[in-house]
Amino acid sequence: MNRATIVVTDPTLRDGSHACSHQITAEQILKYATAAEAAKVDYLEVGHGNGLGASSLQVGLSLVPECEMLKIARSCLSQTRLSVHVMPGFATIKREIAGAVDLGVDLFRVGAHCTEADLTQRHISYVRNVGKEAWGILMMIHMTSKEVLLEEAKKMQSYGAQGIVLMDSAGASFPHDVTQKIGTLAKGLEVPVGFHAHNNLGLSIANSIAALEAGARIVDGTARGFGAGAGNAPIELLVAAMQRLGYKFKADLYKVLDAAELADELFKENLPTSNAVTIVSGLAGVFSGFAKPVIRAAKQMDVDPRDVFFELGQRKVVGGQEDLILEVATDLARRKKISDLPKS
Amino acid sequence: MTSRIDLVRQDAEAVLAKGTHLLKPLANSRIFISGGTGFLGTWLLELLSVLNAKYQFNVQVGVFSRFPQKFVERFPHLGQRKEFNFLEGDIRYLTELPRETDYVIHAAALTDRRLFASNPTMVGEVNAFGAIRLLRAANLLEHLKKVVLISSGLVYGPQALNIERIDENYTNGMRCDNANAIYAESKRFAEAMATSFVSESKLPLVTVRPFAFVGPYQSLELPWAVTDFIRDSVTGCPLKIMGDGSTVRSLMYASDFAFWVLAALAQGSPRAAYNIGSPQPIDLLSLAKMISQHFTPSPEILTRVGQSGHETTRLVPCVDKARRELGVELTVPLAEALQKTITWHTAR
Repeated sequence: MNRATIVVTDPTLRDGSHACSHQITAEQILKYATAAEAAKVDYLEVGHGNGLGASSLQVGLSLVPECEMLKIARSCLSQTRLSVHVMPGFATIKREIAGAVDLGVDLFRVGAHCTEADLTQRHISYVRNVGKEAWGILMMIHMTSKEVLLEEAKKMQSYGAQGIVLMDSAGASFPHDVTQKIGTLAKGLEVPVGFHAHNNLGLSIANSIAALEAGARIVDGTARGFGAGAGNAPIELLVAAMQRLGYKFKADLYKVLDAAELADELFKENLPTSNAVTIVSGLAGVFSGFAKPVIRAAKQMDVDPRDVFFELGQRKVVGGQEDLILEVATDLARRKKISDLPKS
Repeated sequence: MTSRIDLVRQDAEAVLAKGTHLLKPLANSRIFISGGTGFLGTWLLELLSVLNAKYQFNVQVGVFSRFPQKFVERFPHLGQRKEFNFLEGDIRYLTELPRETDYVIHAAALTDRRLFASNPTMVGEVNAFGAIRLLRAANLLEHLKKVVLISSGLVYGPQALNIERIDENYTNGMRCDNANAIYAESKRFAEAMATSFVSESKLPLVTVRPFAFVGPYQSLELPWAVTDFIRDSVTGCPLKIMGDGSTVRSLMYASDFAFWVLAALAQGSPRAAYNIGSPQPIDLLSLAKMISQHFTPSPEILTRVGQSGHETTRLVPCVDKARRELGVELTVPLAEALQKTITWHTAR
C-alpha cells in the first residue's frame, strides 16, 4: 500500500517534565537527546511541561533552567530538529521566543486551548518572520466539536502555522472521535495535520493509528510514554505499528527501541502508569498534567483525588488553571466536614 | 545603495512617464481616498505626489484612514506633503465626505486573510457596511464626477481549471457556509449595493476587481504564497509548497496596480467593471524558483508538504477590457516585479 510519509515528533523531554514534577536533569537531557538523534526522529521537543517560560511556583519550577535545557539538547542534535512548546501567556515573544531562536530552536509549536486559537497570532507571526518553523497546537480537543476545531485550525493556518497538531491533553478521546476530528482537519486544511495522544484510557496507540488512518501526517510519541498523567503514546510502539502498517518515516525502529530502553533507565522513578487517578482524569476530561498536583492537594486536604478530578471536570478547567486544584480540594474538604457533622 | 523611498519614486515616475496623458481629467481635482494608507492607498499617494511634483497636476487628496498619524510618522515623505489632507476615522461610521470632492476611490477594506479566520464578522462589517456608508456619503456630493469601488477578483467564485483567464462576465458558484467566505461575500454585497445606488441615484460609479499583486509596502507577514516565498528566502528557510506547485496565479506589480486604478478613475465608464491584474499565469513551483534565484545560496523548495489531496486552483484575469477601454498596459513584467520587490525588502 502506498502510504504517506509521517513526521515523528518526540516530546519526551517536554511532556515527560510533567511526569517528574519538572525535575528532568541535565544528564537525562544529554543522554536522551543523543539517543533521539541516533533514532532519527524528526523533532525532539524539550523544556518545561507547559512550555517556554512556564517554569514558576504556580505550575512548578524546572530543575534545569530553560536556556540550559535547550543548549544541552542543541549540542546533541544535528539531523533531528529541536522543538519547543509555546503557550501564549507563559511565553513572551521578546523574552522566551527570541531567546529560544538565539539558542537554535528550529520549531515552535504554539499552543492554545482548543477554542482560543486567536491567542496565537502574534507568536506564530513572530516565529515565521524570524525564519523559523511554526506549528499551531490545539489542546484539550475532547472539549469541542470537529467543526470548531476546523475553524480554530484555520485561524492558525491563516497566521502562518505550517502544521496543526490536535492534542488529546486529557486522554479522553476514543478512536472514533479522533477519526472524525483529524479527518475533518485533513480535508479542510492545506497544512499537515498531526495528533498527540495521552493514555489515560489506554487508547493512546489506537487513537494515534486512528489519526494516521484519517489523514494525519504528524504524530507525537514519547519514550515509554514518558509524559503527563498516564503518559503519551509510547514512541517505540507507535513506530513499530507504523512500520507494520506500511507508513514511511525517517526514524530507525531499532534505535527508537534503544531509546525506549534508555528511557527505562533514565526515568525509571517516574515512568507513567495507569492508575485510579489517571483513569479518572481521562473520564473527567481533565488535563493529564494535573495528576501530580491533584494527588498533592488531595493528600493535603484529606480528600479523594478522584473526587477532585471529577469536580475539576465539572468546572471544565484547562491547563494553566492549576491554582484551581487547591481551591477544589479545599472546597471538597469543607463539604466533607459539613456532611460528617452529626445531624442534630 | 538606493533608498527604499527612491526605489518607489523611480517606479512611480516610470509608470507615469508612459501614461500621464490618460490621467489628465484628474488635474486640478479633489480626490477622496478611503483606506488611503493601505498597500494600494500608499501607492496611489506615491503616484499622485509625482503627478503634482513633476506634472503640475495640482491634485488635492483627502486621505481617510483609521491610523493616519502612524502613517505620517512612518512615511514622512508622503505624510508631510501639503496636498495630502489626512482624515482619521472608521469607514463603518463615515457620515460625510469633504464637500468639494470631485473623485472618490473606495479602497477601505479588510483584506488580511488572518482576519477572515479570526474576526470574520468585522471583515463583513467593514467591507459591506463601510461600502454603504461611503456610497451614501458620495451620493450627497454636489461636484462628484466619479467613484471607483475597489472590489475583488474573488467575486467571481472559483475559476474553473479549464478556463485560461476569467473576464468580467464570468461567474461560478460560491459556498457561503464557512467563515472564510466572508471576504468574497462582503465584496459581492458591496458591488450589489453599488449597483443599487447607480440604479436609484445614477451615481457615476466604476467597479474594479483586483486580483493578486506584489511590490514594496506589501507586508511579508501576510500568508500569501508570494509573500511567504520572499520572506522565507530572506530568512534563509526552505520554500514550502503545500501541494505539487501546480496552483496557478498571476501577479501585477504595485505601481501598475495603482496606475490602473487611477486610469479607471479618469477613463472608466460609469456602470462598467474592470479586472485589474496580470494576465500572465504562473504556477507556484515556477514562482518559487524565480524568487529563489535571487538568493545565494538558493533556498530549497519543498513540495507536497501539506495534506495529501491538496486542491489545485487557478485565478488569472482577462484584462482585455481594461486595456481596450482604459488604455492601460502592464509595464512591469513578473521577473522585474519580483526583483524590484526583493530589492526593496532587502534595502535599508
